[in-house]
Amino acid sequence: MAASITLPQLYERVASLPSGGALTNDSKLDKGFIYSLIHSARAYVVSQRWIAESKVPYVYYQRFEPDYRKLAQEDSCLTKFYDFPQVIQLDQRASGVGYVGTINGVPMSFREVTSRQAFASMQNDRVMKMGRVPYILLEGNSLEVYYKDKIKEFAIEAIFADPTLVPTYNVDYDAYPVDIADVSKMEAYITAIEYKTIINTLIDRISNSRDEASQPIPNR
Amino acid sequence: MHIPIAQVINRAKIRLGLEDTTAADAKLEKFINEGAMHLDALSTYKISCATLDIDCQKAQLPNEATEIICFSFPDSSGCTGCCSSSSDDDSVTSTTSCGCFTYYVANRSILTAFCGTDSNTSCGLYSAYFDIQNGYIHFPSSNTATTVRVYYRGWNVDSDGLMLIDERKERGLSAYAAYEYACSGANAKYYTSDQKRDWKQTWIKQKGWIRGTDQVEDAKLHKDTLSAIANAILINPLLVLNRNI
Repeated sequence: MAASITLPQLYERVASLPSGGALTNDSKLDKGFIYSLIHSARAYVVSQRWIAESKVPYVYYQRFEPDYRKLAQEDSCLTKFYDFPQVIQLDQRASGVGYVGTINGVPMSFREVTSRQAFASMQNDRVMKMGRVPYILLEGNSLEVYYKDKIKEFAIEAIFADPTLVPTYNVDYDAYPVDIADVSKMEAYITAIEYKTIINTLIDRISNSRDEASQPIPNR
Repeated sequence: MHIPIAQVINRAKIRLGLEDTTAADAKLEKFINEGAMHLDALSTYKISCATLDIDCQKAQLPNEATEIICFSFPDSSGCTGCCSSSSDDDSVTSTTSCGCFTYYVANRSILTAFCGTDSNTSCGLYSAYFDIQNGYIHFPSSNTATTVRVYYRGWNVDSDGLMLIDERKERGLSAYAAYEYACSGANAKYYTSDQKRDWKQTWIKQKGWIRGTDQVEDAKLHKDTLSAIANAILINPLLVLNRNI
């Protein structure tokens, strides 16, 4: 079994970096902030791997099956799924969406369209227009599936911007979707880019409606 | 052996390094279909037939039709008084009361030359013409047929209107699709000049090879016909009896 690391373990590693590996309670950094650093560092590492190799290890992908809400459907030619976690964008050619398609049997993948305008342009093309093959369109936190029939269930594997928003992900027990070999790259990125500015920036502790980083005068 | 277009899409994605995404599938499918049409090889076309309904003396031709070869009127089409009684014979027998002529020509000037410039009703064929305009075949107003069986030469497509692809075309078409994708928009920065040049050259060479092999296969298929024609020329009695010709 490949080595894995959970998000709490990653938090301990990243949060202890400014203190040389010792995690203390005396830190100005919030837990949520550290989590966001981890997510953004992961996205950065993934995009760099894609640029270098045009391939991302499967460990980065998370799979889940969105819920279909019958009463929340708007149109007959599409099925809309709500509360969909945001997917990262690798580059102009591809997003973080991997397999999207049927759940059981032989996998049949749907096609992804990059934007609503691009999809609208495709409808003017005899070959590319919708109908023969299901198309998916990601917009914000919703996903639309276009097909001649209503598609009510499907599976998706993608690289999500915040892995903890995937409904099936358990923060405490599930492995964080990252290649263990890339953890040090994430730490290097956070230390060199993020912490460098954060650590050297003083906190505005004086509540005087002014943004200033001066420290309060100590009582003598 | 025919292969699905998805197989060629996969081959193109392997060239481009895009196996893990489907974002380019629609574009690649378009490029592949476009390349298959532009091959202009013998196998790009096929002879087919369709039975069309005639409404207001015109019938809509199939979308893939490029050239009309011939047409005939089926027995049950309303061609009163002139259709053969045989159930498997679709030919039309011309009679004076027939609502469908035996022969139709696409060029009215030929009919005019044949029947004279005035409406010579004794000719019987002065209105036996048809026109093809904007994807419709038009018949004269005297035509009483309600259906017509048209034999045409058209694109070799499947039921969805996509080109049928032979397995030997997979290499060339995937190279074409990869080349077109790599040269479109801002994708060029992701691929080297060598890659693009290689794909273009592969397409050009494969196109020549496919056209050549189609011609060879066609010659094999029709070699008996060609042989009969050659023999007919060789054994022409006129040539045998009159050595001065």
